[in-house]
Amino acid sequence: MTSQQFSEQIVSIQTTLYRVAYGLLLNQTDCADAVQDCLLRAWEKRHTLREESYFKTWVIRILINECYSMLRRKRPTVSLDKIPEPVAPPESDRELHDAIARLDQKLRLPVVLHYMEGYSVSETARLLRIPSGTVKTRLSKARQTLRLQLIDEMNDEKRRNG
Amino acid sequence: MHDWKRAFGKPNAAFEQRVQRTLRQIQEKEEAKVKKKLTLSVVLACALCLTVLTLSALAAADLLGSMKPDVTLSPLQEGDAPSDSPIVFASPTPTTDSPTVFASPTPTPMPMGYYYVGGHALYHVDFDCSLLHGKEVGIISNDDAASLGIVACPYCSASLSYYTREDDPFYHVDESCHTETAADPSDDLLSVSWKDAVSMNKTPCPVCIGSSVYCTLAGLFYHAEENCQGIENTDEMPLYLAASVLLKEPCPICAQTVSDSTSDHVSDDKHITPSAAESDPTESDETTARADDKSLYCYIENALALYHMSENCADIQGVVAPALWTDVVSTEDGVQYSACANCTVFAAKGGVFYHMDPDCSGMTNAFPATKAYMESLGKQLCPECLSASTLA
Repeated sequence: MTSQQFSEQIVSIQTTLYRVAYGLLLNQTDCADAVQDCLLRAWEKRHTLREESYFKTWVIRILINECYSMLRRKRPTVSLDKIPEPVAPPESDRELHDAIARLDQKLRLPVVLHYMEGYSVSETARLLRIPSGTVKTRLSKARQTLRLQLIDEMNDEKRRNG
Repeated sequence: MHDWKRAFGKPNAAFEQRVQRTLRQIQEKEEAKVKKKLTLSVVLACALCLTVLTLSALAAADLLGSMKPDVTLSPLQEGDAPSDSPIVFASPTPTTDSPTVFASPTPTPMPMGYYYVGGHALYHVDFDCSLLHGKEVGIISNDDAASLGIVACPYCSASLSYYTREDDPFYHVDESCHTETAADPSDDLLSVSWKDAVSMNKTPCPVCIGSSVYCTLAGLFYHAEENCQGIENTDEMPLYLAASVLLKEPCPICAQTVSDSTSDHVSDDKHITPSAAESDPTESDETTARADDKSLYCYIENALALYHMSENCADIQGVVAPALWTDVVSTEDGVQYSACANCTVFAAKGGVFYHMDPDCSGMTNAFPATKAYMESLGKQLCPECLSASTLA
């Protein structure tokens, strides 16, 4: 794979990379850092990719690892009260963003991959290296949590308007 | 209604720029790598070309070297040459095989220096020089040869001219040497190179050139024996060169006799010929000197495979040529010369009798002389040889 081909493929999947990274980090700046590290690592290790058809999933897996590494490095040293709430990016669905952001990290990633990126349960399971059943469970839990959160949000809004 | 894909919005400009910058960085790194590879390839290609050219040159040199089948030219061995002598190695310069008779004695310019065997005392201008045979030859620059005190080989140096005459069996370094036998010494004196002299079947004059001795570059002595006391890297050279040019002293172990006999000859400026010896029979310990003398010469008659100690022997029937007696009796050439029974007798060093048979009674190291010379020394014919000759 030439650098030109690599660039073209990365540009075509950069939105996916953004969403996956954001789904884990909930911060656009960290997201860019993680993606940059991911791209450099992917280029460096490109010879380990056996089939180019798996390029996208391969890069996403690298990105997930980078994000986990970054999260480990940036473990909060301040109290939870002082951590600012993630601010929804412009042009985003703020209610959904906030609801997903409040989800547990374990539930958030299957939601991003399955609902946002359209990966099937088995593909998501393979990407996250967990059983399909676990993915289904987490997706179910995530849906239930999101439903409750969104209903609460709607009720609050009605009360404010009403 | 919520749209999953709009939950996190779109990547902002900063994100996109970061991705673009990273990709550009990757591309630049790759281009640099390719450029480096290309440069390396060019360098390797150049090195390969250079190697091929060098090998071609070496092959050409080998081809030239193959014109000299008797001598292998190779770099000097480690330790052969002084450490500070910048000796370079090169292929031999091709030389013409046909000797030019009466060549000009002007020095032949060597582009890279002289042929030289590491640690030796002589440099050579002729790759065919017999002193180079079987040795590993390098090249030493003219300046280095001069600074190290290495002198020109007396045999092959074109700068050294020799003198001879058509009727003279010897070649000389001294043009006045051996003039007593010439009708007119100034006539037909030829200035020749060693190669020319050899091609004319001339041998080194035992008086002015002397017998061969051996010496090393750094040694104080010259030796009669090539490996005296285990010395190595010796050069064979005429005594006059070792003693007069290199100022070496005679080795007290092996060369004292050579020194004494030859210095006597040189000081007398006279050949030790049978006739000369006959004319001066009263010389003290003549027997010993003669027995040790390696420059005795005789007259060979090729047709009969005989050698005579007297030039005027009545048994000489054809043409005779002077030759060193040691060469004549040596069987290296495959020709067996017999001593003329009429003029040649033998005696052992310090012996009372002279003999007709050189091996009489198991005698060893007998030297030849004329009968008259032996009798002049007071020797008598051996009774055994006498009875044998009577019976015959």
